[in-house]
Amino acid sequence: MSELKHWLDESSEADEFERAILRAGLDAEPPEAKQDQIWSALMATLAVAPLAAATTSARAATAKAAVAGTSKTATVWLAVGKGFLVGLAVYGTAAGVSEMANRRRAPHSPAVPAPQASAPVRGTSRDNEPSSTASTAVLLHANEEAPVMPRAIQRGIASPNARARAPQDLAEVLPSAATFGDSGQPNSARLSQLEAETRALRSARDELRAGKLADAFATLETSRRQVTVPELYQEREALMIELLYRSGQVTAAEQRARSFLSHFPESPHAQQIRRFVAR
Amino acid sequence: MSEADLNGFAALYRENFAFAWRSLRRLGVPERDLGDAAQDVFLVVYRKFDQLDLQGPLASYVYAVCMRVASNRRRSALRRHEQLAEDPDRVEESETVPVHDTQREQLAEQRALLEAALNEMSLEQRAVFTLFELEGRTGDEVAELLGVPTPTVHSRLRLAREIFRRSIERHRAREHFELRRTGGER
Repeated sequence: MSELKHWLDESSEADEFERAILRAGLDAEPPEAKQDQIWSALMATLAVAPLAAATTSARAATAKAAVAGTSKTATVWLAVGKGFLVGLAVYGTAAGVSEMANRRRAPHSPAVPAPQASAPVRGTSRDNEPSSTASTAVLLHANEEAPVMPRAIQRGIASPNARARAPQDLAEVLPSAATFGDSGQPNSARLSQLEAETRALRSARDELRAGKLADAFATLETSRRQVTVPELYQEREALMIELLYRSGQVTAAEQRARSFLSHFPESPHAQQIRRFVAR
Repeated sequence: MSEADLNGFAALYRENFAFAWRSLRRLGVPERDLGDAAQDVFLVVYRKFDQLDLQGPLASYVYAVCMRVASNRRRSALRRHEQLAEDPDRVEESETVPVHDTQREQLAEQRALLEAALNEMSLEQRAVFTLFELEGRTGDEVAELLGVPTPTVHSRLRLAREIFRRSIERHRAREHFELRRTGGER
């Protein structure tokens, strides 16, 4: 091959028009921030990926989940775990949906301080929410009943009397595409938030694996309070659905799964989440 | 994965990310899917990391994964009847595109022509052609990257060049026909 000249070489047999066409294909470098963004998203996905491996021990640690039928349960867990493995595209999906969601809620954005105008809109009213808000209702529609957490688990994270305020629309908690893309938010801030979410999801997953359901609920709830516009919304919600299911709240998990599917029908997790509503 | 392995994976990612991105783009992954495709590539690499020979040709492995991911995405897109042609928004998004409208239009047209020519090639031909002509690799380097003998690279490059040239000639012929017809109508 060494005797062959590259066609971009002016002394090659290619004519100038052909070289011009080839030159048009030279600009294929990734945008500057892409490498860091994809690394962060990759790490975030890998943080929840090992769920598949955790299914056996997790199932054994959860007596209530076994009521639904062990073989079926195992199938569901394995399916969801695999869903996380293929969840690399989830960021893009969530971001795309959320971008539309953000546009819909644009009228609320004046509540956000001016310097953050192009940054993801934080729900200021949510920031003022009582800390005892139960996590299980956070992502439901206003017309959906919040699932009730088992008492033992409630003790771990919130007052038993706490009642969640369901958002008017799921858009309130969806991440913005701008958070990774052209947001005015500094890269370091975005990555810091993503890292925090990643750590929280990893902790919740580990706790779920260890059968520490109350701790897992608490971790997800803390993350929800701290990050009102999550980058890893779908992963967090998928973990929550699993958690509800494993805690014996099959109906609540199913409701939540339906809500998830109605908003993210094209999610990479959709096929696996669908199994919670196909029983 | 141990911390040492994670560091090794991070180094591999840093060294190969731009190459993987360029490769996916040149193998026909639409602009809008590049981020997801790049993640797919490195997820596969991550899962196989403990089986990789870190002293070996890692770029070769990364490229093989890129080809598989690109192939799968092309198949999926075709099943959905999507066009794999160049994303019209790409020119708008590119950071290095000249701002002048005429230049912008010309670049967009040239890219569309290149993409049309590349789409006529098989994935293997396209890989050889883009690695040699656009990535600037030598024939031996392409052979090593693809894990095929150098004569195979020669053969694929020759066929790919023919396809490229035919595609460009067709375009010229159409353009000439359009000019004549326009002239005749005047």
